[in-house]
Amino acid sequence: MPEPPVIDMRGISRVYRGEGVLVEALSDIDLRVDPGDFVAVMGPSGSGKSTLMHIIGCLDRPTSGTYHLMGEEVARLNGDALAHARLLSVGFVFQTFNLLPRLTALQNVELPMIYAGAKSRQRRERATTLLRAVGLENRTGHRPNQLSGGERQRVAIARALANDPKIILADEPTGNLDSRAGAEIVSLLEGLHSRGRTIILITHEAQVAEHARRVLTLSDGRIVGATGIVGAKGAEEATR
Amino acid sequence: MNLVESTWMALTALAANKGRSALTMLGVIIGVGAVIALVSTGKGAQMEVLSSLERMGTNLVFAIKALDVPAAQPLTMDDAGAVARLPYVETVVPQIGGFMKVTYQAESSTSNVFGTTPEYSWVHNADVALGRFITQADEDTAARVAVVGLQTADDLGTRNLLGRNIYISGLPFTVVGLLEPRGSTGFLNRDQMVLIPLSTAISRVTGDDSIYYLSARVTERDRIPDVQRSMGTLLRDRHRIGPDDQDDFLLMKQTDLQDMMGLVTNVFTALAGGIAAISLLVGGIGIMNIMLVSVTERTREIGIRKAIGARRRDILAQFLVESIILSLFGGILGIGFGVLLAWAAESVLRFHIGVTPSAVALAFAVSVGIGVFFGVYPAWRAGSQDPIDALRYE
Repeated sequence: MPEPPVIDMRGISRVYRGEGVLVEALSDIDLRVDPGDFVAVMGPSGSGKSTLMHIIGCLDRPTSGTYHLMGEEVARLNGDALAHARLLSVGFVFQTFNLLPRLTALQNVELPMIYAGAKSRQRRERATTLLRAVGLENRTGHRPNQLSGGERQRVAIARALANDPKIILADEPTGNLDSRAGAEIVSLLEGLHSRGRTIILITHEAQVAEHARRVLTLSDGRIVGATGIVGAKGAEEATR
Repeated sequence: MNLVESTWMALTALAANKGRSALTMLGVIIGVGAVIALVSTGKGAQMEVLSSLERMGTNLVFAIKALDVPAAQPLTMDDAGAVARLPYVETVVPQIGGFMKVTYQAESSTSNVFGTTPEYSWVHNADVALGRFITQADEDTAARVAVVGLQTADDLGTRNLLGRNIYISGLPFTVVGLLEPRGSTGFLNRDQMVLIPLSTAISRVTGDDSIYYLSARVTERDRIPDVQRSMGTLLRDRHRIGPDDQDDFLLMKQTDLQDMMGLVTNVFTALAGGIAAISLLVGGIGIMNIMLVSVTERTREIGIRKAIGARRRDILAQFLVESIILSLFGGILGIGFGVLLAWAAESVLRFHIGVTPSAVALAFAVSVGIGVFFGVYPAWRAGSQDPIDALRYE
């Protein structure tokens, strides 16, 4: 029996209400992501990539449709319940890293565990392990402004893994990096995928997207294209 | 997230802006310090006045001419004699005189000059520091001798007055005694005083026997109300006051005076404390102001924290703890500042000012309360930020 999908979206729309006009950022999106999948989402600016990412990541709620995350309906949850889903089910990696500047690399990685209520010693051990895994064991005491862009993004990846979420959501993770650092980050994400983590990667760079098992293309708030190695079934379903 | 984590986060954030945190605390420090210093000073003044009234003598009923009755007859020596014959009255001490100019060489002092009897000394606890008090012999011979209070002596430029002549209403008096310091009762400074024999006052200074102030000492404490009543009846009778007319004299028990002065000093303490509390309020508004600035400045931080899973209450707690820490530390330092101010006031005002534990506890509680009250709104604003908007904030 196949495992249930980690993400199961049906008929998801997101409408913004701004100065008398309604803007439909996403319309009628169906998306199913199975455990261990690696999905890249592509599309031009304004295609709805970020909105989709926000809804997948429980930062935003859809205007209509249903969304099951890890089997749980989250489309209608309140703010604190969404925060709980963000805390344990998804890990974010942002284009601009979004580390807290006053905290050291170690403290930044510990932060999600603080909100999850982990004990201080446990936190430090796990954060140290995670930073070692991304090759930053000698940088644990550095603040973000003492780190290079690639190093910052590696701290962010370690932070995303802090509460051991099933899904990693990466929004243009290489967008602010040179090609070499970008390649390192992509290979880190591939490594995570190979060890069973589900990866959703938003990008507009084709050479980044080609590391994914399947690629969805968004335009004007709709999924207009789907390709993939294993993807025939997934693509059909995604474009259904 | 537990309280230890929140406190640690808050301290880190406050330490990142040391100068701003210190200035914000300064408002609370001044407010709490002012409240403690002023309330303690008020309480100290009250204790001073009340104990001074106590030192004025015990078991006393006072009579003075009513000031608000136009046709009031003065109390006379005959009235005093009649009061002295009432049951339970141990003795009567009249004082004749009032404010007069006293001179010694080139210096002068406007002091209370009273003619009185030797009994004044024990009834009103007036001991001499140097020399002697008025004697019966002085009284019998209408001697021109004077016993001088400390403040009057200082006004006259020297405490070395024994055997010297001072002038009262142009008449020379030989100083025979210097009084111990006695303090003020609130209306009467009993150190700025010159006492002379009663007979001398009547014959040489005032020219009549109108009594300014009559004290009747009662044999037992429990009889004070009885004596007050019988004095009232007696004086109404002697002054021939009709049944519908009001008294032309005023009778007061010592406890009435204490109650009255207690009330007056309480009102002053409350007023001073209230004014100081306004500065505490301003300090609280300062905290709110800086917390609102801080929330705006840290919008992006709030967005990041929410994105990685912080709930509204986690963010709210973080900012609320910051404002409580600001006001709590301000409060603790303010208590120290208040104690210093009270100590300085004590050395200027020369009466005991104790900072009571209850004032400290109250100041402490109020400063925490201020942190909560003025911190809730900024913290609520922080907690209610939308994570996406907050993340996009530049």
